Amino acid sequence: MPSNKSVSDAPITQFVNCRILRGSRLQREDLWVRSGSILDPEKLFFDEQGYADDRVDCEGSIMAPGFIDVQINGGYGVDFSEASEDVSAGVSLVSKKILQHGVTSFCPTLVTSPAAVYHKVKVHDGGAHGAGVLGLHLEGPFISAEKKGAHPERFLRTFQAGGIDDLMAAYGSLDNVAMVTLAPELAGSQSVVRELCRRGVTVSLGHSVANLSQAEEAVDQGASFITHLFNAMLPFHHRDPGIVGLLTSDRVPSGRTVFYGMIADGIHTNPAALRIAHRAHPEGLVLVTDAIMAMGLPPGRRTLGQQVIEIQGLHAYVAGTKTLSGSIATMDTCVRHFKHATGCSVEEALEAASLHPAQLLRLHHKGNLDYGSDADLVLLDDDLNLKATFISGEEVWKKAP
Amino acid sequence: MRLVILDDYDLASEWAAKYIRNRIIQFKPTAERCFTLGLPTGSTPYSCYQKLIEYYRSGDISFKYVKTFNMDEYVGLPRAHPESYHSYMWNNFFKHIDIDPANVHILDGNAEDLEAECQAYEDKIAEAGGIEMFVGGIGPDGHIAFNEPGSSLVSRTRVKTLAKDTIVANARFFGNDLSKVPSMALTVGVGTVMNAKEVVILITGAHKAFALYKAIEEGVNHMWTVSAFQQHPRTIFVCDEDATLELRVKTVKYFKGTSVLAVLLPGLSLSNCILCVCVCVLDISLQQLFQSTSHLIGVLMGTKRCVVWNLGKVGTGPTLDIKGVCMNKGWRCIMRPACVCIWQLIDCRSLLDVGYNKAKPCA
Repeated sequence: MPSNKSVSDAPITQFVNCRILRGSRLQREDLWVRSGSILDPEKLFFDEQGYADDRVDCEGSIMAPGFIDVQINGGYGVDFSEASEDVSAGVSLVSKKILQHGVTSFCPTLVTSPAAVYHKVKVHDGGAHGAGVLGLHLEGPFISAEKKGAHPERFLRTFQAGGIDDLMAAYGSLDNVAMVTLAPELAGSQSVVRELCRRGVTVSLGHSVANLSQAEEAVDQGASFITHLFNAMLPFHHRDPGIVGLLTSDRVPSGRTVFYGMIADGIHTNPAALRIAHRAHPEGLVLVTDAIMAMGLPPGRRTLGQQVIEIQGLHAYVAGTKTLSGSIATMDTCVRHFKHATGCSVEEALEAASLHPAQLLRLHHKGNLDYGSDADLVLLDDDLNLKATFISGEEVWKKAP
Repeated sequence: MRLVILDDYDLASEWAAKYIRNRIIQFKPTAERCFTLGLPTGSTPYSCYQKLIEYYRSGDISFKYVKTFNMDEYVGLPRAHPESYHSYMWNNFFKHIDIDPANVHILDGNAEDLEAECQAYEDKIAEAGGIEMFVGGIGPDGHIAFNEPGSSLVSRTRVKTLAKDTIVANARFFGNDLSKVPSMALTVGVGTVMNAKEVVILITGAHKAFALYKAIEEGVNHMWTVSAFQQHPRTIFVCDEDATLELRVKTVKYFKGTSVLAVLLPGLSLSNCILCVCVCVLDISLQQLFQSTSHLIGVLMGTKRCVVWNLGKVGTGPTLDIKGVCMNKGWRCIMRPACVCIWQLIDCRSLLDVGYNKAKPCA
């Protein structure tokens, strides 16, 4: 039939035979895409008298928004925190590889490093070349020495004189930075939190020995995330729940949600703890991989940031210790494990990896399949194994038959 | 008029859907000669639409050359509102089938000039060559479309204020808040629907029984606008048992008696049948008929007349092995009970009228 679309002549693709995640439910609906955005087919039908040019048969698969990983340190031999000549090549490699885990957007994470390492990685859209970069996640150096985890102590910093000036001195520039993790008990940090939020950077609390009131104060100033809950913070105590208490704090300003990252690899958090967090505050749970450069590589010794780590099976330790160095689980593995460990619904598991991170970063056109949103999608089978990944409506990865 | 009475809502919907389907197939629509269909909305035709979607999905029918004209639309309700008739038709019908959006016509309740919109609608119907078949429902106050009591029986498409009965009946779609129901609508007129070559009215549920009684057993009256169809040459009322509750037993018996049963053998689909011959056979014993394996047997309920069709080759399909049929209503069971088959109605008066009733095993 000749084209009679009044708004645009761009081709329209109709995904049929799928169950899409919309409105927190899996619905048997077709998904329509034009020019990389999800289209309202009813408007197309009545306003433009338009119809689909291509049909993609999803064979009954589940269709979810593409996963968003807000904490990933590298993978496939690439370490984002390692000073190197060609940073963008490393980011590109990882961004291409993680498509097969269903990740369509991510925040390359830089751990505590000397000043020279905070080079610029540009925000850019995803596509066939790889997942989109939403901005850097700067984890440290303004963190607690007692909870440094795998971060090298010699590069930790505190806010000396000018708060935000110290931060700018450490990082150079905040362009292309999506998130900063800091410890709110550090003197001078509250004004920094406020200033960062004012500039549109998401502030996360982590690697900290803060008590609950210090954490609540930071949330008051605009902090909205907790970096890998339970790890690198004071354990929950019934008289001072610490940062963990934010999940049920009544001092969170109304209308705001405190999100928290969980590494659901079965190692960083005991499934019982995962369940406690999930049951206490399900809408805030954000699945993250916190993957290190060894993700995707065979076992052995590797370098992470400024330290050496050792991989044994699914575990990665700081060499010579039993301190966890980071995870090597992939995002889709985390989604499956999360669903299995908590017994949550498929919709909840998928939203924890897509909708919640998008809400955290205030990205309204990502993490959902509403009309007008970016057509970043994943197709999954009923066990949440990935079948295909799409960015802007184009297939960028497909599982080999 | 024909009054086709089925046991329940689902069967009535299926009958109507099959009828519409078969009519479209028989018409053989092409790009130059589309089948124009008038369509209703509401809870009554919902299951009928589901069935039509099923027939489309199984390949029995295509809507590519079907033009549709809806009966009505609310005034002032945004088109994207979930209760607008645009939304209803999109979600419950159009999005599931292969209809060309350019062939779809629904009145625009948000048009600048409502009267011009109505006139344009009438013009579009005329341009399309008139409506081949108008499918409709009936309100509890006997209205067709939004032609409320008191509407002229020769009216055309126009703006109407909704009657209280209608607003109350529709409140359930607006959270039971009467103030949220639109008070005006654009509707095709009684005259507009009367101009259609054929009219099919779906009436199900006990709450419509009184309206049906007024429509067919009393006179033509503008207070019960559906009664106008007593003067239409070709109207079928499709109803379930509940809708006949206010009718006289005599009326019901008469119309039930004129329906025809035929066996559609398991494994045999409509597309495999080749209707060759229609023969009226009087007073032949069922035994003799059933021994024949190359015929579809039809039995006129309530009489001893049978209609026989010559089937012809079915290709590599299952052989036509008539195991036996069991019926009630006074027929002696002469064979062991068979599976319950879907029955396809064929009326020997007009070869391709279709409808059915479900055979019940005898006691």
